Amino acid sequence: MTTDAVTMVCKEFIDRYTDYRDELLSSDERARFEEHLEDCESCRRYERVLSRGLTLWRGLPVASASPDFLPRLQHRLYHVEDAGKLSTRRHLGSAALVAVASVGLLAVTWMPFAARASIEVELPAVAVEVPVTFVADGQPSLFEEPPYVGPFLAPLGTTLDEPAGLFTTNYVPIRGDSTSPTELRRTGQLDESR
Amino acid sequence: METTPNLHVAETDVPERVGRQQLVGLEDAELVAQYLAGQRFAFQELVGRYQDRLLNFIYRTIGDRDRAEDLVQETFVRVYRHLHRFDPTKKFSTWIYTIASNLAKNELRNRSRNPLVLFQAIKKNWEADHRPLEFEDNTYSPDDLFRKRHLREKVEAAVAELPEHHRVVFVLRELEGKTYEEISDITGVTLGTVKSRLNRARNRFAQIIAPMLD
Ligand SMILES: [Zn+2]
Repeated sequence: MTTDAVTMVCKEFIDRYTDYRDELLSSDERARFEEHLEDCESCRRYERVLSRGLTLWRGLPVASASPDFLPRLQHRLYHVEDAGKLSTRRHLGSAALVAVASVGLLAVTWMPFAARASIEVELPAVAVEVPVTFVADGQPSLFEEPPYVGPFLAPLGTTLDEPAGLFTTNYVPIRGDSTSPTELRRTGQLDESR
Repeated sequence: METTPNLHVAETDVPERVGRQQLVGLEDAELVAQYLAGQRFAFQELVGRYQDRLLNFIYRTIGDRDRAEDLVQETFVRVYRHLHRFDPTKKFSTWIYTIASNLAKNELRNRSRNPLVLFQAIKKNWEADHRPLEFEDNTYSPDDLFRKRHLREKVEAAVAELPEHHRVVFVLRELEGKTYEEISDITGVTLGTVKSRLNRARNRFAQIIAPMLD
């Protein structure tokens, strides 16, 4: 270990170690790092420990998604599309109500006895919702013509190369801890602040 | 896959739809274009490519495997909802990792009121993963195996000890092998910040494990 500024002190080695490890240094600077490593047992130890720790960490068992991952996802995506359609239907329903009320009012106004007695019809206010679009209009809906077999999947009969049952599930219950969309949304808000 | 038509989305608005067998050879952005052109299996191909990678990324970041799987599901739901907004000139992997990273960060933030949860999750995962000793490499003696297992447990705990925003960068670099530029895009911080967070995370990690490894 040396305090000679021409070579290198341990603090600089540690502070800029990432540049050295990820090969972001010029050849001259790299040579200074290597020279320091040769002379300094403390920094050699640092490098040894880090490398060994990373090797151990990377050797940890790799997680694989559980077998019901895809059916669960299909189920959720089905509801994404379904929610979009429901809100459209609600919107259409409200519009239809307005139309029916208008026709009714016209009919009443044009009745033959309308001349004799003026009838005032007071209709309740109708709130028309703006539909929430979950999936873009241009995006292909997967639940339109053929019978539903799951999101992003071809209809039954075209999937003969698939393992039986894997992609043909109509209904798969979502696991207990996944059934709370409120919580998922709360914890999964996109972080706009960063 | 003998003939692959020209699928680059930048060149044509609506690419020619290909057969399912050809999807395997396509780039991620081409799969997005294929899905938007009506090839239903294209999204499934994307899920297959990313589900385990994202699971390990989130799992190593938040320390809870079951919750990580839920967040991977949520990631795909968001991708599905916003697929039409994907910019094909950008890297799809950066986009999907950004969504996953934000979900992981929010999970940690919500949990920060109760730090015990993280430790308990790691302990639970560890016990579940490592119970069947006989399935491990049997070229080592039981003592070696015990020591190795003990060390791995400590190393995992050391990563969990890193501050949240250092840990995300550390996992993206050391486990996922992302470049500084990709990490900068995913986390939304500058290259300089990525570098300094990574350096501090490596430094802290080494400090924690040094007494066990030396
Ligand atoms: Zn030194």
